[in-house]
Amino acid sequence: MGNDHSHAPAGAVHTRRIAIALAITATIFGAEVFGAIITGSLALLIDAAHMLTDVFGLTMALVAARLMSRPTSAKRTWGFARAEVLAALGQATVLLAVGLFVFVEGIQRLFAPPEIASGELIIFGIIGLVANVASIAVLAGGRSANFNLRAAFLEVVNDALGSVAVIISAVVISLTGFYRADSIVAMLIGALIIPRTLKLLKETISVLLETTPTGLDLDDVRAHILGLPHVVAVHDLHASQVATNLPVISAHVVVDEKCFRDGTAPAVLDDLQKCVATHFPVSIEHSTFQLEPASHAEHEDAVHT
Amino acid sequence: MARSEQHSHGSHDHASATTNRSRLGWAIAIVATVLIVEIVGAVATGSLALLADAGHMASDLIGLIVALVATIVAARPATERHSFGFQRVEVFAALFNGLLLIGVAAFVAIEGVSRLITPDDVQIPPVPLLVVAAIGLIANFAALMLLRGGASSSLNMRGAYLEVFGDLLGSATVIVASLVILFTGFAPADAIASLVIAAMIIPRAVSLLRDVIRVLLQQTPVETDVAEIRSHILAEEGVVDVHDVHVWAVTTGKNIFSAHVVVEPAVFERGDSGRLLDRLSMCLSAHFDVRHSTFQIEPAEHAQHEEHLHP
Ligand SMILES: [Zn+2]
Ligand SMILES: [Zn+2]
Ligand SMILES: [Zn+2]
Ligand SMILES: [Zn+2]
Ligand SMILES: [Zn+2]
Ligand SMILES: [Zn+2]
Ligand SMILES: [Zn+2]
Ligand SMILES: [Zn+2]
Repeated sequence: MGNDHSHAPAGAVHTRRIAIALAITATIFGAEVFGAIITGSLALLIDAAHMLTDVFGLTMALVAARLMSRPTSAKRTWGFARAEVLAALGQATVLLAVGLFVFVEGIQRLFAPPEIASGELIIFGIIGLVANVASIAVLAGGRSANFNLRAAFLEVVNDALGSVAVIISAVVISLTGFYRADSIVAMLIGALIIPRTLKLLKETISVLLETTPTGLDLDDVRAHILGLPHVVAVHDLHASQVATNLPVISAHVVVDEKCFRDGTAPAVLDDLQKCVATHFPVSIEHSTFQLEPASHAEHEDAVHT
Repeated sequence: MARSEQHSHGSHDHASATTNRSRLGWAIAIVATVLIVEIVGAVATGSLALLADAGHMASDLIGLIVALVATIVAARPATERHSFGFQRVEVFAALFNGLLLIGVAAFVAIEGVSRLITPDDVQIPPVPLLVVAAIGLIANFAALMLLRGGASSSLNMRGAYLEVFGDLLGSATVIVASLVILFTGFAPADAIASLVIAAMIIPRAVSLLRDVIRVLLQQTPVETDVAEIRSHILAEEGVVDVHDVHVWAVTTGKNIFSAHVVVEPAVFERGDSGRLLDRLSMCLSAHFDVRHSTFQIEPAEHAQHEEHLHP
């Protein structure tokens, strides 16, 4: 019974590497927000927002496994599995808000570009780049070790590119006085981030709305169930996704009366669970099937397809 | 989907859903009217204060419209993509309203504090403005009375109610503060009024958000005692163990329950599992007000086929 909903990949999780990268990234995030305020640079602001995604991503990589393996309790019968999804929604919302702000502000600035303290901007850009390279170095050591770490690595590489763009705009500004460079770079970084953010937003909302997991066709599942021996009808078929790795399904399955007398019922149950675990693109290991004789319907006040 | 009209998630009172919709509709009509009056008044008199209050009303109106749209979407029948129906949408509307309320209250509080620290020349609103504030007060009061009846029926209605409640407080404190300043000359009254509004709104909004997050995180509904349910199940004849007990809510009051119940081999041998199921379902709906339950009755050896078990 000690098992739980942890689906963390097997093998060593390089917690220490991730923790160091997180400390570095969080520090750059703080520095960049400060820098955006004192230099007035939009590019630095959006880069800081991007950095926040990485702070979030690395934090999740660090705590998700631990949090998700916390045992379920009477207060949380699903444990903390959903926390990840809600946190992702929060992060996407913040990122989208900053992105919109940068676009509105950026377009205004194209018409009336304010002065940017380019000297300081170069310094902050370089700090960001150096710190990013440092996190790459830390994470690269275990890059191929597991999928989690690889994703974290890619995220940080992505970020280093943002810092390079900030430095280029700062150099352009200090050489030519072309202040619009800052807004242009900011909007470019924004344009790269926003589609990803919208996708994340869509995915998290759909999980929170208890939508059927992507890739699972409930009609198909119903057809499979009805095709099994002894099955007469299906109702209250529900599928949703508690968290990324935890799709769940439940259904009421009406079977032949005699299954309850001749001891076939447990075999039908095995068939059902094997079906949802193996026959569909989304493998559902967490299933609950209520086998009922047709006469049970009178005890159910509200039934639906 | 011919039977979807009698779907279990419709065990809520459809009549009350319709009432809530008309409550919201009327509240929107009132708030929108006041908003238009304020905008016209602001343009005619050039009053910035009036325009600011109109801005407030607009945020109110948005909150109410979001709530209304949510009730309409929530009434849609379940589909294959959304097998639990759309009632969760109302929880999102409550989330939106909770965040909006906190945002507005925080803004008001910051303004209030900054005016306490650096008291600039407080402008006492002239009589016409007081009259407009009084109209706002009456309108908000009417909307509040309309919504009060539904406030406890769902998180969404509670959010809408709080939205109007915040605005009512706003109009009331503007009037009281102006009168205090008018008669006693106690200038900080205005800033203190802002802080009072924030102090009354923020705890209510936070408590709404806490309930919203509980639903979104699929935590056990507050009134449900899982340990108690477990002991009822274990007390049924033939039951040996129970695992994978899950209780959550699509939206407040629409609880979904599922569990795996391990029984003695004799239960299957005697052909009693159908009757046990009847007893379990009735136990849950009678003793715990959970209408939507799924019990998987399994023999002890079934556990070997299951990948992950938990209490
Ligand atoms: Zn699992
Ligand atoms: Zn159902
Ligand atoms: Zn049933
Ligand atoms: Zn199958
Ligand atoms: Zn319904
Ligand atoms: Zn479970
Ligand atoms: Zn089981
Ligand atoms: Zn009972």
